[in-house]
Amino acid sequence: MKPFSNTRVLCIFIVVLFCFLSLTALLVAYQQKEIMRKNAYRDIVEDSEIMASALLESILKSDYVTIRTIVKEMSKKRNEFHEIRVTSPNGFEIAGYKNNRVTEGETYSVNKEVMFEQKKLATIFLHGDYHSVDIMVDQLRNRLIFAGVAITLMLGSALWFLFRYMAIEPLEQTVNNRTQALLYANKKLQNEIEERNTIQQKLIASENRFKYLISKSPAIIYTCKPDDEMTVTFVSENAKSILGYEPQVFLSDNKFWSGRVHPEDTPRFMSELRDVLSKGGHSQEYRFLHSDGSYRWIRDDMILACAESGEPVEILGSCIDITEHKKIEEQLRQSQKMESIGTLAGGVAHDFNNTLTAIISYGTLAKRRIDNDETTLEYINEMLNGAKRAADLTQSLLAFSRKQIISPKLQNLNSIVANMEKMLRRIIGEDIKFRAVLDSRDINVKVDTAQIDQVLLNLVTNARDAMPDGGDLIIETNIVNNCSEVNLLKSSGICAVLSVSDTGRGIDQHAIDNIFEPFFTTKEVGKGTGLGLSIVYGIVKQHGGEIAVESKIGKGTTFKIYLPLVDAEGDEEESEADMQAPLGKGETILLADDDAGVRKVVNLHLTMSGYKVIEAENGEEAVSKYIGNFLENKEWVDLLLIDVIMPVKNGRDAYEEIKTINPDIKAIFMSGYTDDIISQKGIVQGGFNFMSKPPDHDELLRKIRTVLDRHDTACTALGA
Amino acid sequence: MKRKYLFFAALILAVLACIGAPSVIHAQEPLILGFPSFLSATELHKRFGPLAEHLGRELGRPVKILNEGDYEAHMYRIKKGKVDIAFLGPAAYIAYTKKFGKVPLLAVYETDGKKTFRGFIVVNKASTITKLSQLRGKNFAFGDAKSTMGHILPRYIMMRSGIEVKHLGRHEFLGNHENIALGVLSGKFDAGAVREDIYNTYSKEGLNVLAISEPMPDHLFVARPGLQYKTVSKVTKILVSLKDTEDGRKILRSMQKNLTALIAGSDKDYDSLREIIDYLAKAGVKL
Repeated sequence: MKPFSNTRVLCIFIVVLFCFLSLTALLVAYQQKEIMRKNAYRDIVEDSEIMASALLESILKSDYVTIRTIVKEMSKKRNEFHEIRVTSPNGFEIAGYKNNRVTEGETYSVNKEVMFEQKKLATIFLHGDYHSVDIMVDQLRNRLIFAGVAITLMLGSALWFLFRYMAIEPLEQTVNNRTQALLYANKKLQNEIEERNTIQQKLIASENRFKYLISKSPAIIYTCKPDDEMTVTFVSENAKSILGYEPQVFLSDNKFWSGRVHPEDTPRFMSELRDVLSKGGHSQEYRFLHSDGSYRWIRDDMILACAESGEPVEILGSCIDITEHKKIEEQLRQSQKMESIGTLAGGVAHDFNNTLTAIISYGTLAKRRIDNDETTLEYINEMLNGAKRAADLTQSLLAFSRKQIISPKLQNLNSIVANMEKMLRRIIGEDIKFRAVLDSRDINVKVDTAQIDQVLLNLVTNARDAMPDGGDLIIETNIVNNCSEVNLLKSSGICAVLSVSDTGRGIDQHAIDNIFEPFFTTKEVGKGTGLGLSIVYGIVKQHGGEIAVESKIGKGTTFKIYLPLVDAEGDEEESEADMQAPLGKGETILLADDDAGVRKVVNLHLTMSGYKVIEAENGEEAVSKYIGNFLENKEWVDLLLIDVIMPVKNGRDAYEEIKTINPDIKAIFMSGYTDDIISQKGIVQGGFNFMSKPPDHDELLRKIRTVLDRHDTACTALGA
Repeated sequence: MKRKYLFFAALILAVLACIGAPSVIHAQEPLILGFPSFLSATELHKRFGPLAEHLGRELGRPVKILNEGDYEAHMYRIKKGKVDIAFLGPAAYIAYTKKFGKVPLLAVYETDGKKTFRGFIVVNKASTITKLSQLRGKNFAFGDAKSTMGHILPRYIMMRSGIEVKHLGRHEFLGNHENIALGVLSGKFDAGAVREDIYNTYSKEGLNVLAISEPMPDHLFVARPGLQYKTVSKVTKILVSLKDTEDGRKILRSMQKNLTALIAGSDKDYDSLREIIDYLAKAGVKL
């Protein structure tokens, strides 16, 4: 670094010196100018006198030519002369000179009379300017200024060298040393600043990232002081989107938060809040009032941040809106309840069904043996009717618990509704206006038509009962795009909707929560079984669908059934011709069932219908009997009629084993058990040769005949 | 005896001629161009210097200007061979021929295309003098006493009008014609006699003409008696041919502004002036 202050002083001194010398030069020049002008004028006056003396002789001699020569020579002598005139007393210009030069600067004029013995002989007139003087003065001034510059430079240089070697250089050395030290310190400081800037940048980036993440987080992040009032110090921006409040309002009012906790949750909230300081953190769930007036379930996780000394510094917390989670949880709980009820109902129905199978089978056989006893026959008929009603009840329970065997086929939902319309109109009566609004498109669903008919029937019956004073009943079919909302797993977003709406009295929330439970009814005793909507629920679920209910008290209720749409191609409608139960042609049927009653009655029924029957009480025995017959070639088994669930070896395993001996073996599975278990056993995946227990005898015979007459095999159908 | 002396004299002259001949024809011997001092030496050299240089170049020998003494001295130098070529005014020529006899006449001035010139008696424009008779008692300016137009002709004109010098209030011989014109213009003199070209120059500044003379032959160049005929002839040819070239005309203009040529002249041309001079002489005027 240059010794700037010294240089500046030196420069100022040089400038002052130069100015002083310049001013002196100008002053000297000015004074010299005045002197030179005076001298010049004096010279001119002297010249005029000399000229007058010279001219006197010539005038006296009348030598005018000489006068002219003198004037001419005079004009050459001084080039500042603009004009020289010698005039006679009569005014005649004896001699004259005039140049055309432009007058510069100040001018002078001299008149000199040429006298002889008091007589004027001529007048000399000289006119000129001080141009020559001015030029000289200018030159003088320039030289003085030049001298001033030279002196200034010389003096300045001398001073500079003196300063430099005596003062500045040692000073510079000191300054340089200090400058180096400063530079080093400065560089260090700059590095620190850069480092700090980098950290600051990172901090800003981190803060921005943090802010972004917080803003995009589903959780409201907050901090508060660990004081008694839990003063909130920060609330993330997403509080607005999640709870509908600006973050500032949480900060402005200490009681804002606690004042919006649901009154039922407030005591627990306050109690647990105080535990934070002692426990170091806690998590609680409570309802919080949204700005729209609704309550939202909040899970509030708090942790106490402490200093190294252990002193609490801050409470950090995050709130997540778990309202949806709570709803799903409730739905799951409801679903699990329904599942457990269904399992219970299914289990009871299965065993009850087997009992009914025996009652109906033997009742039917007993009827055949009574010819004349009308009374007994009537009793037996009543018994059978009671048993059938009980069977229907078990079917309803099985339907609810989705344990019913269904035969889904490709159907147009509009056709199902249209086919049922006439019957439904009959059910609802004349007070109720019925309207079917069917989508113009084909709505292809794979359903068991009878089951869907049952659904419609049950819903319409309920609707009718909800409108004792009449109203509107609307059945709609539609295809919607928002099926993901109803959790249709098989759906890609598009699904069929069948809705049944009424304008009845509506259902309260409590009833809605339990509406699909079996035996839950709002009807008077004797008016309903409490199984109608349970059956609907089971059927819909068994078809892979969902059911939703919307109701407003006094306005009406709408049930919406969502069913997965299927492609119309590739699903062949199996037409089942109505026909009389076909008899056997002496084919041998291996009947395997662990229930001896069932085995016995089915054996009897088949034997009477023209079949030979070999019984087996479990899968193991069935396999051994089939192998024994097959090896000994005693009786050729044409068909296996085999119960799915059996001890020792289940129906599937037995079938698989027999199939290794005879890949073409045909089989019909029977089951009174849940479809889920059947599926779990890996035996049946739906749509194949099944008979539910207790089997309808005619249906069993038709099924046996169909399977026997078909050329393909059960194993092909099983796809195993 | 007389014959003997004559023979010897002739022999001595012949020897001298033989001895002197080489010096006469010597190329380096300058030819002297002589003038009376009617002008300052500077002016004279300025006017006639180019002519001398030209003659020198053409003749192949140096030509030197000699400018000393008045007309009287000038005539004596011609006569004594001190000058080879002499410039003379018309009156001086007549005076010379009258005194020393005729000399070779080389060339005569032709001014403004004329071989003669005139003299004017002038007064100031502001003057009340309109007639020669009014000059009585007035101041009069003459040129040189020997000057044709500066003295001889005005005296003759005034005498013919009955004015004698003694009738004038004062008279002066101012030497040259410009002084006369300026003397009249400045009011120092009431009247003056000037040459025609001087009048023409100053008339605009305020001169009025009182009288005009008869045309008279102008100035001339003559050769000294005894100058070799070859040189005379050659010089005459050079002078007469000046008008034929631009350089020659430039030389002529430097000699006198209105000089248009130098032409061959004849002594007879000066007879009219001789008569006037004779008239004045008879009247007792000393020239």
